[in-house]
Formats: sequence, C-alpha cells, structure tokens
Amino acid sequence: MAEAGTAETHGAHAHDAHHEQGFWSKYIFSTDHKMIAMQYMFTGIVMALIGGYMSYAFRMQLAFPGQSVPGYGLVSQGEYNALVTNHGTIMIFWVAMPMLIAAFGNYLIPLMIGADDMVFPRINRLSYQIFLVSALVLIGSLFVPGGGFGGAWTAYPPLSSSAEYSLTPLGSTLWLVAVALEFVAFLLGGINFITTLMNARAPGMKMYDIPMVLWMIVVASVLFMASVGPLIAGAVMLFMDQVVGTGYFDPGRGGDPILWQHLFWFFGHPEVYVVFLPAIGIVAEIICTFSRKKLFNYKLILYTVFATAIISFFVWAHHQFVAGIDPRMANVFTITTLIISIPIAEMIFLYIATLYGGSIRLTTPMLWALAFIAEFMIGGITGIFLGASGSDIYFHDTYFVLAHFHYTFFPIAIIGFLAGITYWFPKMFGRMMNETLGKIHFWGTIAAFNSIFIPLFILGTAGQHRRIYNYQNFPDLADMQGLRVFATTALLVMLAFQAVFLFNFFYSMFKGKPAGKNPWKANTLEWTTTSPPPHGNWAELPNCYRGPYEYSVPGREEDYWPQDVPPDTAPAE
Amino acid sequence: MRLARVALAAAVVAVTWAADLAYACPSCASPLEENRQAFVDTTVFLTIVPLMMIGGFIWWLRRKIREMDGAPEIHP
Amino acid sequence: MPDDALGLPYSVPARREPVLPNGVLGMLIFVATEIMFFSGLISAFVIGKSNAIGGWPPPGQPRLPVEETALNTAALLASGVALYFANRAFKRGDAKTKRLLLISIVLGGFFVVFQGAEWVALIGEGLTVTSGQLGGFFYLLVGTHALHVVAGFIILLYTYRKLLHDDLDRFTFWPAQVFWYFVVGVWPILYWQVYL
Repeated sequence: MAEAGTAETHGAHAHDAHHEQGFWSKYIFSTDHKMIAMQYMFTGIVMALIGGYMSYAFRMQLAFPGQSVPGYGLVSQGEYNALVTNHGTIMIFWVAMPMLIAAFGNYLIPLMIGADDMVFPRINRLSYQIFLVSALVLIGSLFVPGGGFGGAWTAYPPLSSSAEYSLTPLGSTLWLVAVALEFVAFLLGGINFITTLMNARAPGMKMYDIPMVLWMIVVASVLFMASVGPLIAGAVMLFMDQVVGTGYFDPGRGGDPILWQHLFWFFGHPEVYVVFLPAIGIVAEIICTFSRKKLFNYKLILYTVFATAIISFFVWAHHQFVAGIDPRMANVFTITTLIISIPIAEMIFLYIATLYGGSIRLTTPMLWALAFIAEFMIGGITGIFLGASGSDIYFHDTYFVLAHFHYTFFPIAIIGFLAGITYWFPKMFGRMMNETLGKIHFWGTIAAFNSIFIPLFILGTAGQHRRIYNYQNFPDLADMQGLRVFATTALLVMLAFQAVFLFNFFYSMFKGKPAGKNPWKANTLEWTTTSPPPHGNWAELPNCYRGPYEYSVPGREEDYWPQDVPPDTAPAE
Repeated sequence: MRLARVALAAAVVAVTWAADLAYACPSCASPLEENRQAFVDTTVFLTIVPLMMIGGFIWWLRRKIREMDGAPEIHP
Repeated sequence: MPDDALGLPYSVPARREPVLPNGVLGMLIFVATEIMFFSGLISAFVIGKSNAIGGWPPPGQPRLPVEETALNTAALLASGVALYFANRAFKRGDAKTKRLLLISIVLGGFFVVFQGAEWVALIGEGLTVTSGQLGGFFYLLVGTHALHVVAGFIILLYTYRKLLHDDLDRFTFWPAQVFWYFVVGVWPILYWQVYL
C-alpha cells in the first residue's frame, strides 16, 4: 500500500503514524483501519478454508462411512464430533463475524464517512490481536490430549460442563476460552464502530446521508453489544463448572442445564441478525450501483432495520421449543418469530423495488448480490416451519434445521462476503478482478451449494437426525445413502470451485487491470480517493453534500453524483 | 354468513386456548412452578433491559441534538 | 477549508462538535455491555434460586453478613457521591478536587478490603464456591463485582496521578467517572438480590 506521500499535506487530523513504516509496524502492528481490515479478512479466509476442510472430512465420513478419507485419514467417532462442532464454531465466530462485521466494518466505516481512521486506532489494533490469539487457541484446542471439543457449537451442558461426559478435558475448556476471547475482540471493535460513525462523519453528512451498509454494520454492532453480556456470563459459569467444579448447570447438584440455553440463545439469536445485517447492507450498496437507481425508500429501509433489531430480542426462545420451556413462552415466541419475517420480507421487497426499472449491469458483484436475495429467501421461508412450535417439534434437530440455517448462513457469510469483496476489491488493491473467472466461480458455487443442501432438506423431512456418526446403523435411514453421497459430491465440487476464486483473488491482486479511483462509477465517499487509499485515506478530507444514492438524477450529464461534489460546480444541463 | 365467520373465529380461538391449557409440551417442563415463572421473568427482564438502554440513549440523543441545532451545520 | 479559495458561492460544511466526546461514548457503550453482563448473572441467579428445593437460602448453609455489608454498601455509595463532588470541584478548577477524589478512592479501597475480610470469614464458616448453589452464586456475583471495583479503583488512581501532575483533562476524567458510577450503581442491586 502506498502511504506517507500524502502525510505532509494531511493537516490537522494527524494521528500517530504518518511516517515511513517498517514491515512490522506496517503489516503486523498497524493501527491503520485498512490494514486491520485486511488482517481480519485474511484470517477469516484462512479460517474459512479450515472450516471447509472440516466439512469435507465429516461429509466424506457420512457418505462413505468407515473408509479412510483422502487427506485426513480415518474419522473416529470422537473426531467426527469435534469436526462438526468446530466446523460450526469456526464458520460462525471466526468466519462470518470477522469477514462481515470486522473486515468490512473496519474498511468501510472511515472511508465511507470521510474520516482518516477509526476514533480509537489502538483499541482497534488490540481487537485484532485478541482475535488472532482466540483463533490460535481454537486451532490449538484441536491438538491437545483428548482432542477438540465435540459437544456441538451450542455447547449444551451437562455434556459440555464436565469432562466425565465430554471426554475432552482440555479441548472443551480451550474452546470456551477461545470463544470468550473472540467476544472480547468484537466488543472492542464494536465500541470503535459505533463511536466512529457517531463522531467522525464528514462535515455535512447527516443521518440520512450515511450509506446503508454502515447503518447496518452499526446496528449490528449495537445488537452484538446488547446481547453478548448474558452469554459471557454463561461462559464464565460454564468455565467455572469445567475448571473449578461448581455445579451451576449440573442438575445433580441443584443446577439447571436449561439455564445455559437461556443465556446462550439470548445471544445466539440476535447473533443471526448481527451477521445478517452487514451482508444485506453490502447487497444494498451493490444493487444501487449496478442498477443505477436510488435506493427505494431509504428511510423505510432504515426503520425496517431498526424494527428487525428490536424484534430480534423477542425471538430467541424459539431455539428451545423442545428443551422443556414453559409452553406459555413457546406460544409467545412462536408469534414473535413469525413476526420477524415481516421486516426481513419488507427489506427484500424494497430491494426488488430498487431493481425495478433500473439499468441493471450483471457484473460479478451484482450476481452475488442477487444470489444473496434468492438464496436467503429459501432460508427465510423454511424458517417459518421451524418458527411454528408445532412443526418444530417434528423438525427439531433434523437435517431440515441444518439445511435451513445453511440456507441463511451461507448466503450471509459466503455470498455476502464474496459480493462485498468482488465489489470493493478494486478499492482495496487498486486492481480489477477478472470477470470471466468471477462468473465461473459464481455459477459453480451457487449450483453446487444448492445441490448440497436441497438433498439435506429431503433427508431432514424423512427424519434424519443431526450429529450422528453413521446412518448405516439405522435401518430406516440407511437406504437414503444415495442422497448423502450426492450432497458430499456437490460439496467436493463447491470446494474445488473455491480454487478458482483464490486464484482470481491473488492473481488480480498483483496482475489485474489497474482500477482507477472509481471503476463502478459509484457515489459513496470511498470512491473519491485513490485505490488503494493512502495512509490517512485522503490528501484532504472530503465534505459531504448529498445522500449516497443519487443515481440517474434527471438533468445531469452523468448518471451518478458523488457525495463530495459541491452542488454549484455540477455541470448544469 | 357473518355469524358463521364469527363462529369460526371463536372456534379457532377456543382451540388455540385449549391447546395452551393442555400443555402440549414435547418434553415436559420443569415441575417447579417457581422455576417456570423464573424463566418467564428473566426472559422479560433480559429483553427489556437492552431495549430500555438503547431506547433511552436514543431519546436523550434526539433531545440533545435538537438543543444543539443552532450549531453550524450545512445543508445546501 | 481551501475550497473557499475558489470563491464559489456554496456554503462550506462545518464539522460539528460531537454530542459526546469519543472517550465518553466508548465508555458508555462498554458500560451498556457490562450492564447486560450483570443482567445475565442476575438472571442466572434468579433461576438458580428458583430451583432450590426447601427455600432460599438453602438450609444448613452459613448466613450472609447482611448488616456488615449494609455498612460496606454505604461506603461504596459515599465513594460515588464524593466522586460526583470531585467532578463539580474539578469543573470549577477548585483545589478541593484532590481531596474529594482521594476520599472517593479511599472509600473504594475500603470496600474491597472489607469484602475481602468478609470472604475470609465466610470461607472459614465453610461457604466455598463448590459447597453448593448459594456459595457458587455468591462468589460468582460478588466476585465479578469485586473485580470491577478493583479495575475502577486502578482507573481512579490513574486519574489521581494525572491530577497530581496537573495534566488531567475532562476527556480522561469523564469516562473514568462513568465507569465508577456504573460500579457503584450496580452494587445496591446485587446487594438486594444476593444478601436480602
């Protein structure tokens, strides 16, 4: 990255490191928000590859039980549990969270609001360092004696609270420590995001001039902050149960195992919206840019986001319908769960209204954004079956649930990330990605993804339970092996297509076509600086004069109107 | 016609009500009424606290921003 | 702004003074998370209590020192009040700030020491973290709070040191106060829940 050149002209908003930096201070101990975003992103990609490898190992075991998996070896029962558990944990906490919130939040917030950096750069650096430690602890937990934790990513006690049951004395404790550290990292990051958006906006940027993706990232951060406390409380208690030998969750000693679920899901469900909102915010930016239209009813979308955030605090007990909660509560939570689909559906409709009548360009980021809407709708619609407590009793803990949340989390974590990275890649690295390779990767991934999970819906409705090592032991389920083999084959195809992306990513980073300042002709402030932006982002910090979505304004020669162009210098025609 | 509709609605309500009273729980809830009540209470408590905090903060912020509206601020 | 140099007839936007300084806003968000953390602990405790067969506190367990802790509660609240007056003096640039801040710090330290003594006595009576739900939750809730008091105590000591060197500004003092008011404010709730 180029830096230092603009430092002298940068003026009053100086912060600590505008001089020439060495390797360590530039790449490892940087306080620059762009570098921290890169660190989060690359860590996230590495963790995604690890999580993908785990899914490969356990899917192979399910398709070809008892056979040695190429590149892994024989999957034992304990290893199978550890793989499933850590696949879930990694994909949610070390892939979805860092790539969507931390990477894009860090990268976009200062650039889109016209600030030179986050307001607390050092806390930001600390946040990444803690995150890195947490990732290392989690990976380390797989190699300790007894193996990695295998009690599912929800870690229900008493299975998780005592080594007697989990058989992983060290693995489960390290797992818990890693998760807790990860929360601390995002806590620090979230404080930064909210404060920066509130206090460091460019002159003239009013509330309704903030790009939608930033609103969504910040609302997601607020949600995270407001919901993570009880889970940390629960994690402390679980840690005490594991290490000190207290009995908070041990019914034999007067404790209550449901209590953990209570605290866990209080965080666990808002968490879905914590990762969902940044992804759908990224989609909003892309849809506007590539259909050359103003975002349909900005304010309504914003209020919908607030409504989603508020309602997301009322739905969490739907994860416990069969855990033995009070039926009075199950009724209430069925209703609220079905209600939350309304704002989400509304958001989707508003996006479709944005597309309507636009001059749509089907670039790779636009394809990913449209795929997000389509695939997430399947996830949302199947969620209705699970939100109704009656049908949930049948579907609970089957592959139907599994396919449902993969239809929500895959669009969020993977499609949302790929949409964002293909859209902002020119800004991040100053070069364009290859469109042909991007489209090959897109179609390969989408086709394979649906081929993995549609068979799993069918298996789930047939009653196939989750977290089982070998279905050959169940006569009713054994004869559906064909579908399992099909899903595993599709997974192999999907993983293979990721090689296309990685090649495109690294090849374009060094050899791609130079992008220039504003390759997509977009309005938001990040496109007004050079690509990649220098240290300090602008030689001179921009002002803001209008909303972020002024595309195809009548009477203008160009069909876009960047936020920083003063009104009177506009070509008047 | 209208009467039939009302009767149907009443029947639906009655059935939902009865289902509630029948405690159609798949794996039965705790036998302790205090425990069940504690879960309901803490559910309400945990839900209300963050909403009150965020709501209160936003309310305070709005008031404060209105007060500060005399401050220099553009919008051409 | 150099845009003015162009002599163009549009108004140049001004950077608005933030409603709250960065440090205070950051600390408030952190405190909100902490409030949720304590809400989680208290909820866990309420549910833990409701599971007790034979009433709460469980029979055959040592009693918690309600009256002594009332005195301690008063000390902590007084510390918060002292800090409030320290801030008022600080705003006026009064020399009394130093003394009031010191009183606040000493009272906070007293709280921690007194509680430590209480713990030693309770452990002597056989109430440990593994002795049952009462001990487990008592040490969890009160211990977590004690850690926060210690953290706040260190923060106040830091502000005091800055004050002695005459380089304390409100951007350091204000967040420190926010944290200490939180620590003070959450204690009566814990006292009410755990002891009474």
